[in-house]
Amino acid sequence: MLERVISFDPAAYSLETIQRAAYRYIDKFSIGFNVKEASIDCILQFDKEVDDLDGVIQDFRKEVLDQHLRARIAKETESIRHLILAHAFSRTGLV
Amino acid sequence: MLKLGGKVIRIEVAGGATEVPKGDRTLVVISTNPRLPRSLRERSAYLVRAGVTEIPSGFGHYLQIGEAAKIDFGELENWQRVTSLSDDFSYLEDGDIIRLNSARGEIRVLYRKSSPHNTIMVTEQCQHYCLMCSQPPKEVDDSWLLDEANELIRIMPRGTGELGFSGGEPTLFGERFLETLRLTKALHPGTSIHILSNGRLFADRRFAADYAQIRHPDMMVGIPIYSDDPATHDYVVQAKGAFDETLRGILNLKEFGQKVECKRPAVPPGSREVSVL
Amino acid sequence: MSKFLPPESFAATGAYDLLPFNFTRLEGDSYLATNMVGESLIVDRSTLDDLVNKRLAPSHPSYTDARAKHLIAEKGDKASAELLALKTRTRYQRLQNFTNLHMFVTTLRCDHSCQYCQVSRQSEDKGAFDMTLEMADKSLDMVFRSPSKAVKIEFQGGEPLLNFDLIRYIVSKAKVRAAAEGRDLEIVIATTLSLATTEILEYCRDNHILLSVSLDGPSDLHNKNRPRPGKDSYQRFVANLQAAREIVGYDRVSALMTTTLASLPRVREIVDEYVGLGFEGIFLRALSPYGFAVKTRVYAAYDTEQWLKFYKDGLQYIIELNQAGIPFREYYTTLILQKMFTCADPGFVDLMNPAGIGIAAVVFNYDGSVYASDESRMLAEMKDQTFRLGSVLENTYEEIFLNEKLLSTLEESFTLSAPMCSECAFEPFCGADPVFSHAVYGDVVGRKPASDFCKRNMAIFRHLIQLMREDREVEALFRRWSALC
Repeated sequence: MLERVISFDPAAYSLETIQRAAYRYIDKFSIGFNVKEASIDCILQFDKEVDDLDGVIQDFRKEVLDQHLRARIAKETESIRHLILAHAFSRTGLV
Repeated sequence: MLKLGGKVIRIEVAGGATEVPKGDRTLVVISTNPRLPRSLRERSAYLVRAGVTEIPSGFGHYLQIGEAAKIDFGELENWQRVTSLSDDFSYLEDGDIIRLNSARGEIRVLYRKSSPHNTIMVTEQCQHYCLMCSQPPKEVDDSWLLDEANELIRIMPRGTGELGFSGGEPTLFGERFLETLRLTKALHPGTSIHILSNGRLFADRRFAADYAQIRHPDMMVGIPIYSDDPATHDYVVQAKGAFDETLRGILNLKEFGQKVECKRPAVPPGSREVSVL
Repeated sequence: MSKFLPPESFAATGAYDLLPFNFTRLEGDSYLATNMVGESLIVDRSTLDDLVNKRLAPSHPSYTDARAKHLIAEKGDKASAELLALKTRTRYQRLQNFTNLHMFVTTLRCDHSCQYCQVSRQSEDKGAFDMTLEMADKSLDMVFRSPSKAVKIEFQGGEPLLNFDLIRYIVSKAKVRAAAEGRDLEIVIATTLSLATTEILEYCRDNHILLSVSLDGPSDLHNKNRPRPGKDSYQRFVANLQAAREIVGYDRVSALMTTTLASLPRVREIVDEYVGLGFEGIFLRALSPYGFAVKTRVYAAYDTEQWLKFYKDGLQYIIELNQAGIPFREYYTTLILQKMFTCADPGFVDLMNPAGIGIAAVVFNYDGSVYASDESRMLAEMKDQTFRLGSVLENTYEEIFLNEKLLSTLEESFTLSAPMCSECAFEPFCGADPVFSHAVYGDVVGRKPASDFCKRNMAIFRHLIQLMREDREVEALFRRWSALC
C-alpha cells in the first residue's frame, strides 16, 4: 500500500473544502487528516496500483482549489438561490 | 417538355449473364449519393452521369446516362444490373422513382422528388368517353397499375407534400382503391391527397361513407363538371345519366364532411358552359 | 445634435453579483460552468477565477456571455433572478402531474427466451403468470387517481400480445373513464411483434395505440439475442413491422435496441439496419444491471468503457450519415441535448430529478404488486423487494404512493443535495437513478466517483460538448436534434 502526505494552509483552505475535494477521489485513495495550527496534513493511502500517482495528486490539489472557489460561489449566492427556488415553486402547489 | 417514358438503350446484367430476365417489371429509387448506407443500396439504382469515374459498390442497379459514362462490369456482382439511358433522362435526380421493364426495354418515370405535384395513374379504365380526353379509356384489366401504385407508395420518400391519384377513373377499383388511400395515409400521414375523379361511384352512399371513414386530414376529390345542363355534361362525357350520378356523389361526399373541388374545364366549342352551380 | 446616445452610454459597468452556478473541469485548462437551469459557458481557469472573485472586466468576451447566460447579474439587473425562477419552474413542471406513465404487465409469458431478459417466462400456465381481471380493475382505479391530465398506459410483458384479451379489456375501460373525466389517454404496447396479427394491428389502429417494438440489429445478431422456436425472430419482425406500419401507421411504430456483448463491435451495422428499415433514429442503450442480466452474467459481459466506445462509435457514424444527407438521430443524445439547450425536461425516467421512480412511472405487475419503476420489478424478480410499493389487492392508493421507502429514496437521491451531484456542472443535464445505485452499490445515492451511472453519463456529457467545440457543423446538427421532439 502506497502512502503520501500533502499539506494545505488552513488560512487559505477550510477542512470542509479539502474533504469535499477528497470525496471525488474515494475510488482512488482513502484519506486521513492531521489538522495542525500551521497546516492541514492529508494522508493519502492508495490501496491499489495507480498508474500516475503524481498526476492523481496534482489533480487532487486542483480539485481543492476548485472546491475553494465553489464554496465562495455557494456562500455568496445562498440567499438568491433560496429566493429563486421559493419563487419558482410559489404558485405550483408543490411546496 | 420532359420525356417521362420510352425505350432504354440497353439493359445488361453484370457477371456475364447473357439473358436479361423476362417480363421483369421493377420499381427502383434513384440515388446520386455515393455515401448511401449499405442497407439502402440494394434496392436503389445509382445514377452515373457522364464524366463520373468513381462508382460506389453494392447498389442493386446502375443507370448510366449516354455513352460517356462507362461502368466497369468487372467491379460488379453478377446480380447487379446496368441500364443505359439516352440524354433525355439526364434530368433524373436523387429520390426519383422509375419503373424499368427489362423484357420490353422500357423506362417510365413515376415519381419526381423535386415536383410538388406527383400524380399516380392507377387505371386507364373509365365509364366516360370524353370528347376531348387525351388518354381515351382502354377496356383491359390493368389492375397491375394499382398494385404498382401501392409499391410506389411503399418506397416513396417520406415527406412528400402532395400526392395525386388519377386515371381513367380511380374509384372504379372500389374498396381496393380505398385500401390504397388507407395505405398512403398510414405510411405518409403528412402527405396531402388529391383524387381526380368523375365522382359517380360516390353516388353509392355506402362507398362514400367508407371513403369518409378513412378520416384523412387533408384529402380532396377533384370532380369536373362540364355544364349546368345535364344533357350537355352527359354529351361531353358521352355517358347518359352521368351528370345526375356525379351530383349525387358530390352531395354524399359533402354530407360526410369531405373536401370536394368542382372543376370547370374548357368544353368543346358550341357547348353550354356552367353558369351557376 | 443627435438624439441617439452612443453605445458606451449603455455599456456594462463591471459591478456585478454572482448568481448560483456550478463548474466542472472539462479537460486541461477549460471549465464548464452552468447555472441552475443548465445555461452554460466554457471558460479557462483564470477567467473562472476572475469571474468568481469579481475581477472580470466588462470588456472580456466571457463577461457578456456570463451576464447573458445568467451566471452573473449587474447591479440593477432585476430580471435575472425572476427569469431563473421562471425557468426553474419550467424544469420541474412535470412534477405537478405526478405519475403519468402506468405500466401494466399483462403477462410474464413470452415466446422468446432472451438471456438478458429479466422477467419473462416460457410457460403455458396462464393462471400463474397472467394478470387477472380483478387486478386490472384495481390497477385502473389507481391510474385514475393520478392527478395528471395526461394518462399514459404502457403494456409490458413478457409478451403482452399473449394476453391480448386483457389488453382489450383494459383499453375499453380506460377509454370510457378517460372520456368521462376529460383526460388525454395514450396507450403503448411494448412488443416484439412476433405474434402480431392483422386483427391485432387493426385493433391498434382503431384505438390509436402506439407500438414500441424491439430490433437489435442485423438478422444474425437479432436472432442470436432473441431466440424463439423456429429461430425466426428477425424474419417475423421485418414482415410484421411492414404490416404494422401499413395498418397502424408509419409514425405509430418505434423501435428499441438492447446492447449485448455480441452487439459491441457491430454498432455501424446496427445503425445501418435501422436506416435500412426506414427508422429515423436509434436509442443506443446500455444493459441494465437487473435480474437475469446479472444472474446470467450478461450484464457483467461488458463494462462501461466498452459500452461508451460502442456509443461513441455509433454516434460518430450517425453524424457521418447526416453529413452524407441521411437524416438520422440518436435518441439518448437527443434527450441530453434537449436538457442542454432548452429548459424543458423531456421526462426520461433515467435522467430525471427528482428520480423518475414512482413519479414518472409506476408498474402494475401481473400478480397485483405495484413497483416504483420497471427496474424495480426486475429487481424483485431477483428476490429484492425493496421498491415494491404494495399490492392493488391489499393496499390503498395512499398506502402505495406515500410508501416510506419511495419517499425517502426520492429525497435522498435528489441531485440538488446528493454529494457531488449538487456541485456538478452537469447536474442540469443529468438525473438520479436510485434503483440502479441500489442494485449495484446497495444504497440509493451511490458513491458517485465509483458509479457506472455517473461515469457513463459524465463521459457522454463531456463527449458531446467536445464534439460541438470541435465542429460547428456538429453543433448545428445537435441543435436541430434538440429542437425536434
